[in-house]
Amino acid sequence: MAIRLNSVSKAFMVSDRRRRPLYRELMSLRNHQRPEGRKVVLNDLQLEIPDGSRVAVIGRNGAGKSTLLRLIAGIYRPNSGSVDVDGRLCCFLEPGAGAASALPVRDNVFLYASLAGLGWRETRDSLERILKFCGLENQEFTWVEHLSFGMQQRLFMSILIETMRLQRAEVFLFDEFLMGVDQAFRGKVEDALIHYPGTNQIVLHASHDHELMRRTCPSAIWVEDCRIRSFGPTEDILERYRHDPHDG
Amino acid sequence: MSWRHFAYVLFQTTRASFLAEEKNSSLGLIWHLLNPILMTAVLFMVFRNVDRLREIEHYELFILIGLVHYNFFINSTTRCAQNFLRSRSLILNTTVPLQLLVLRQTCIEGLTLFIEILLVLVLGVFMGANLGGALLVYPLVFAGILALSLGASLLLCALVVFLSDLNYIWSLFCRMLFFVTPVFFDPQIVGDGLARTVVELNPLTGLITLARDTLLYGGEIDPLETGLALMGSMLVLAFGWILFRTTSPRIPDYI
Repeated sequence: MAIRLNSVSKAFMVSDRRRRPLYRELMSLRNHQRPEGRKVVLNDLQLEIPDGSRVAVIGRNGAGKSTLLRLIAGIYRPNSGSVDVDGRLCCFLEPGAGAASALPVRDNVFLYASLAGLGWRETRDSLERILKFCGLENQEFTWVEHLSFGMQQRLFMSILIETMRLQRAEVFLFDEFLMGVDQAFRGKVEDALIHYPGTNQIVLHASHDHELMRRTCPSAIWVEDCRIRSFGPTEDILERYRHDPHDG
Repeated sequence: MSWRHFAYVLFQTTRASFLAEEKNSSLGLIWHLLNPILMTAVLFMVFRNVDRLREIEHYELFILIGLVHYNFFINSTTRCAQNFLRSRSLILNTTVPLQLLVLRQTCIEGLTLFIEILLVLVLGVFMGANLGGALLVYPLVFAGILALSLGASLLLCALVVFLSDLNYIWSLFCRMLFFVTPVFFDPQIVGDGLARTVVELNPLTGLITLARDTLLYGGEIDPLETGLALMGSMLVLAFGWILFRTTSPRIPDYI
């Protein structure tokens, strides 16, 4: 089993209590105000995802999809329970996080590929393939900040697809990663997501794009009310989600 | 993440940050040389006629060496804490180790210090500094000041996410530190008493004194003094490392 969540709970301190000035802390003590509580986002999750799974994560805004992915990535530590991930991780939770838009495409390929887990030699050997996949063959030295949002998305996504193709990570976590890209590129990425993941790789993908989920992920997790409401075949989960009075 | 890949990611992120910073400046690297030269000129003009300071040999290089090391310490620590807070997106959306973000800034500023030391050496040759075998000890001083800055940066980043006023407090601390660090004066002129104790307890004092001995005055280097200067840095590094490891699991929750 490559991903196992055992009784995992996650709560955050409400935003007003985080990093507020010292004088406000002192005033609240003087006025005998009780500290505000914590907001529970995920509660007592049990989850086991086997190797080779491609899993969609669905749920309404604020349901805890991104928090779930960050717990699996090890970015957040659970307040209780344990998260076990067997394998190297590759995340795409926010477009371009860690990239340097003030630098050329070529520099960003090396930088972003290093964050995704590729070494220098692998990146050098894959550079042409990455640029071809995203359609930036002749723009190696164009500054990334001069590219459109969609082209930037294409670039970063192409690097992750190459990481998947080279089997340099076992667990891929995506969060709404196809925003702003055109249909042609979507088709290429969908093909890659269907054909590239090996039997030892897991893809977890949080999105509101149900058609994409249906095509690329055989199974789905429905996150709702701080828990995993269902985990099963994507068609069944999407059907139930569609008829849910809160989310449909 | 293996150590090898950690080093590679550190290289890539440091390179990217350095190039991005340089891109926003017309003079680029030249600023790193102009800044200490101009500040040294001002301090030299102001203090050169003070009795006890006039006696210092190569007073202009004496100030320059103190200034580049002091500047490195305050710039690397202050910018590290500021950039750490600005790295929210990176912290929340990638699996990059948090220590790497602290190391990155120390490396960028370390590169600047390296360039400034080359300037000191060039000026030293022209101005007749005693550059001899003692110069071989300088890499130890360089390692010591890197360790001290890294330790202080880890300490700041470990706390800055939780204490919103820490950046202001550190900025004030750095201003006060200037007057208890022997940048433009010799520690001997402070006299006895509390001020002398504070100057001697300052870990920068031993490192700057040692830097002057190796880069400017030559002669024999006291192993005990060298050991003590480096020990202060190592203690700060160890303390910063332990504190950062303690608080880092909670940083993504609060940033």
